[in-house]
Amino acid sequence: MYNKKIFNLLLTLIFIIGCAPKQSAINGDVFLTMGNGSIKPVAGAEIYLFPLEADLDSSFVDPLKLFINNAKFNVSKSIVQELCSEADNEFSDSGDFGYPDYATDGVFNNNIELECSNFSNEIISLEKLIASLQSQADDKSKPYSESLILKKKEEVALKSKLYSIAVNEGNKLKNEQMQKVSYNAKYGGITSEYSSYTDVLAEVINNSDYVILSIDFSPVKWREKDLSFNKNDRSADEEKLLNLYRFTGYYYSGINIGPWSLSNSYGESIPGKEIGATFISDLYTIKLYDSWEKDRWFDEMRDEIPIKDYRVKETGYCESSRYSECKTYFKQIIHLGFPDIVNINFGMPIEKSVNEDTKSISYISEPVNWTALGKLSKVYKDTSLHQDIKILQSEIKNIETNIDDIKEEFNISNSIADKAKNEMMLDSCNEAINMRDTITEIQSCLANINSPENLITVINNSKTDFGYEIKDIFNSVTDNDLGYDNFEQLLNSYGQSRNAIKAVTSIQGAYEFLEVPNGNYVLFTYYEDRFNGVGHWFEEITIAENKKIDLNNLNYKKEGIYSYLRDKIEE
Amino acid sequence: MSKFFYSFLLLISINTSADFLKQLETVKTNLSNMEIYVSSAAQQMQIYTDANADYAGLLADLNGANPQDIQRISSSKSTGSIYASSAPQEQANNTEAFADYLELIAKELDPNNDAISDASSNLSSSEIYASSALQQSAIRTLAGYRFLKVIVEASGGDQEVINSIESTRSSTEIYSTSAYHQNANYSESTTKLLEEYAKVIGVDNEKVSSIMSNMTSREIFIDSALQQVALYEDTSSQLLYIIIQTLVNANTIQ
Repeated sequence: MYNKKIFNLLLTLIFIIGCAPKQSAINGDVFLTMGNGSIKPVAGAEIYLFPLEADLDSSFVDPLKLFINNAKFNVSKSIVQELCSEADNEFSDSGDFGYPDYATDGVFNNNIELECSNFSNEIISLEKLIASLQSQADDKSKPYSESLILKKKEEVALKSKLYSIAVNEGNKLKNEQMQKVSYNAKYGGITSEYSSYTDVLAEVINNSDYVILSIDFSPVKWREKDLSFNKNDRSADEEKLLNLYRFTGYYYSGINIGPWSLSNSYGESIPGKEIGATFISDLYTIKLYDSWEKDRWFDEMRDEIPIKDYRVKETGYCESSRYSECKTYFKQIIHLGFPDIVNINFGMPIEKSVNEDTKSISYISEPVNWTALGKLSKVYKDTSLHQDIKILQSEIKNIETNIDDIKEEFNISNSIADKAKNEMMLDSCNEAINMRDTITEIQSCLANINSPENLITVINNSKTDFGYEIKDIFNSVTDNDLGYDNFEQLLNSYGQSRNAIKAVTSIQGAYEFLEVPNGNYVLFTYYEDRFNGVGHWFEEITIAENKKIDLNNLNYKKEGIYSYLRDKIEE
Repeated sequence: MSKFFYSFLLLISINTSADFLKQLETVKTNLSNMEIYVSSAAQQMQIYTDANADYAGLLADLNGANPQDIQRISSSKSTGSIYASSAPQEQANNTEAFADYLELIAKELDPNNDAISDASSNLSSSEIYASSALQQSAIRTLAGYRFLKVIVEASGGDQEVINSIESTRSSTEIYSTSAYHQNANYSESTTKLLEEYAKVIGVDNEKVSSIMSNMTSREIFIDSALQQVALYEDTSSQLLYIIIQTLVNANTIQ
């Protein structure tokens, strides 16, 4: 009897052990090989083993979607609830929704959709009628329309001609003023006999009737060709010559002087160079030579390089000293002539305005509008074009009147007014529907506030403005609002919520899962640093026996897990 | 659940290896483009110190310095550049940024090292007495050197080598009779520290030796302190380039 009991107990034990799910151990190392061959163990990383009861989609991706949406829902829930409650209170308090044509005693009529549909159909038939009448009117007024197009083209051409006269006359006036400006270029002095450079100076006297705001100069010439400001437009020879010629300065971006802005003793800024002003400005700096370095290119090109002796006077301290006389030195330069003035930007005579509070004065010189001045010229005023345009505009008006008369014959304006009236009524009708559905949705919102699935269905089917407002609240929730720095952190949290098994890698990057029930799993972890950004391992594995699974460069994906799962999540 | 609910955007954006290398090449290309135009040692000093400041900024980023601090130095350098009207002023502006970037790195690697605050306060007090752009440049290069010393020490540089560089620098200091000479002395010491740093972080020894021997052979033909600074800054520039390249490579997944 006793033996039989022991036998039965053993049999039960064997049965239990035999039916228990089989378990295995999973271990491995997590490491990455760097560009220089060094091995970097990924220490302290959390590794998750997600059980897959069925396939990846149904066991991993769908629950993940739910997890994300629930997280977002939880963040949005209180805001949505508040919005729905506020709206509900508002409607309950007022007791009247408006729209008397579509509601009686706070109850909307059953046939609103039908009424809206009638307005909509009426609009469509009116649109057809208008199109047909328009077409008939167009046919009848075709000769006038064609003539109108030609006349309008003619009007544009005449106005363009008139504008050209204003521009030309304006340019003439500007050129006259430019002729009045006196310009002389010269080389500057040097401060010591060892100086290896001197300035190219522009001496200008403003004899014009306007303020000079700035002046643009042309490039200098070599071999009778402009030595371009643009490096890409210069030949190799020109580049070499320029390096011998120019010391430093603005040659590369074009030569210009100004705009000036001088401050007076009150710190008030005065623009430009006033009428009658005389001034000297540096254009750029050239090199001075005592001798020429032995250079093959230079020697070969010697005949084409315009070298000139330059008697240069000492400047600086000696000019004001009573004891040290300014000396004269002999140098050589490459003389490419001087830049010419190509454009002067003139300003109107300076206008002052006083700040009544501080008494400070603002000095303004507006750029001269030469076209406007051209319009004041005799040539512009006396041209017959003004009269031609007037005649043409009168003809255009007559043709337009004829076209309007034809449209009137077909009564198009009445049909258009009818259509507008129907559109207004359709808008009001649609607003009534919107109001009716909003009230229903508010009630559904409050009834389903604790049920994400149902509430989302309500919002999804909604076509009201209120529904879109709630939709925007949900959509405005970002990963930051969920409290995760990145998607990988969210996935870790998801793992915890799903009771996934977690391991943390050792300092050498080793991990181990003991007694894992055999089955299908996803093995997930990620790695992030400032050099490589974020990447991950995401391995679908089947566990049937003890296994070593290393996570290394071979199965590492150099992108965040979100980009890997995105298509599935957003499917 | 509704589909509009699923969007989950990854907002984090950080510099990665590819960005670092792109920035590195941009600095080098800018330098190469400028090298064509410069014709004097003063201008050379300007463009090499400019590139070196940019390299140091990149190095600070690689070492994990706060991006806002890096941005602050970078915009201060750009603003300074607008107001600088001569090559020495540009150089002083560049050396200031260089020292500031190195200070950030030193603070990242060895935050409690007193040498950092010493160098920093020394620089502030010396700035008051600097009466020219060249003097400013010299004291800023010295500060940069001192921060770099902390960096190399914290990175495991050979202490004997570092001490030897420091002792040469301080003994040469006695004979420096002008800001030019001071600049040359500090730039040379900085270059030598960079050589040691390059070795420590695992830059190919052959490449380092080649850069340094090139410097030594060019040194023979130099007859002014100005040219010396240009040569040292040029060499530092080459070392910084190869240091950054190696650092990025060593941290980039194969």
